[in-house]
Amino acid sequence: MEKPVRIISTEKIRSFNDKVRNGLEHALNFMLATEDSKIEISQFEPFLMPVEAYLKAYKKKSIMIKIYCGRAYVGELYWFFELNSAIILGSLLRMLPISALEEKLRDPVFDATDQDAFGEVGNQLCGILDRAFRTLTKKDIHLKMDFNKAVYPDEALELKTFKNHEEYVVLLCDIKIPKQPTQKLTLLLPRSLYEVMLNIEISLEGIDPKLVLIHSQNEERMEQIQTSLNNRYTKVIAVSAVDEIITKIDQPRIAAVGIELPKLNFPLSVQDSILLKRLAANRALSKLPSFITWEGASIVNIEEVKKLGLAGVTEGSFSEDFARWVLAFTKN
Amino acid sequence: MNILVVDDSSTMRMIVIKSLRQAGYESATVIEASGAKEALQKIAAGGVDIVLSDVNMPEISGIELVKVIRAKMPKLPIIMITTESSPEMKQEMLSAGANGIITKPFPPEEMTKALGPFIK
Repeated sequence: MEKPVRIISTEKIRSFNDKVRNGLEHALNFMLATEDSKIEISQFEPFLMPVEAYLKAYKKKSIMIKIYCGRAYVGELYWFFELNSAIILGSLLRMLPISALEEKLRDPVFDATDQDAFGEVGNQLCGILDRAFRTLTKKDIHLKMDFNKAVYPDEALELKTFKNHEEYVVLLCDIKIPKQPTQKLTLLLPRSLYEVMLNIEISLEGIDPKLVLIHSQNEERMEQIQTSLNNRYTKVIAVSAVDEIITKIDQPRIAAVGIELPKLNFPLSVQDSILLKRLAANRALSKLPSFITWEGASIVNIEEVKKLGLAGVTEGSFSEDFARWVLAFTKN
Repeated sequence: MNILVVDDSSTMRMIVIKSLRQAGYESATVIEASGAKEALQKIAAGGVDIVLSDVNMPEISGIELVKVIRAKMPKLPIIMITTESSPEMKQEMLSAGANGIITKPFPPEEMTKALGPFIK
């Protein structure tokens, strides 16, 4: 299991995180606080980690709010509140007298009233997050809460609960509620959502990912490859035309190239021969590990293409073998 | 004046009622409904002057509720109270027949602003 790794903070990341944090803090105080008490949320510390690592690390009883994301990006994000925070926030919303709250916290049980009240806190915070994300990113992102009222880890949380099969950006912060011990608040966002929202590629401390340049005319296949290869060690650059391979191959950190050519017919047409010779003549491509194939590639016609001087030609399937090839290659 | 407050969350109904009081509607009679079906029953019983309804509710959404009410009572004022703030969602509520929208969390003045035009 991959260990948590700190995300290198940039001005854009800091600014985005601060605005989200300020929005939440303001909303919590608007909703819940009295004049003489202020709820404080500390700055987010952003980490990247697999969800398994997060689940293994959290020990305190927590309540999870699931948030569906729709329209421009489809996925889910998750919010973990420590049980006591959830009870306190719900109680503040219900304006429960302090003595009753203290009594409740002596033996914290997340009863139906707490669930209803905290569900409403979560719903309103989700609304704030929805507004913040849409305003900050200018993207048509729509968030909607799904609150299932369970207490974790008392009620086991399974990996299949987490919709996006990728690493998560974990925004960890402290929540300080007056007269209460400081507690943790964690927001888990799929890495791809975080990157889409900020329009950036995040960088990780101590990790310099290898770039993999790919082309196929099959968009679904390109998406599949991106899903399986985009991780903390490799990053896929997908291009929609073969010519773009030639223009982008010179950039630093390109570690491998994958090309699924349009179906070739043999004997080769003049047009296909010109394309293959252009690729063969590209010095950068000839020096990099490459995986070049096409639908129906056979040993016989591969030999014919190799005669044109093109390296990396294989009968391997782009959809089934390429990702495995890259993973084996990048591990070495 | 009878105000029907529709929300599946009892906490939220309590907050809406408190806001009504703070906004100066102390003398209004508040009727509560924890869902659309109950709301329709209470409207059918008669005497409801204004509806304040949540949007995201289980079983029947607030938007569906507005459509059903509108089909029978074109003039009954309906104000939506919601966390939904996107222009698309607001448009959907208004197209369904809502007269106004209050976005949560809200100060009592928002309540006055939304209800004012419908209270003589």
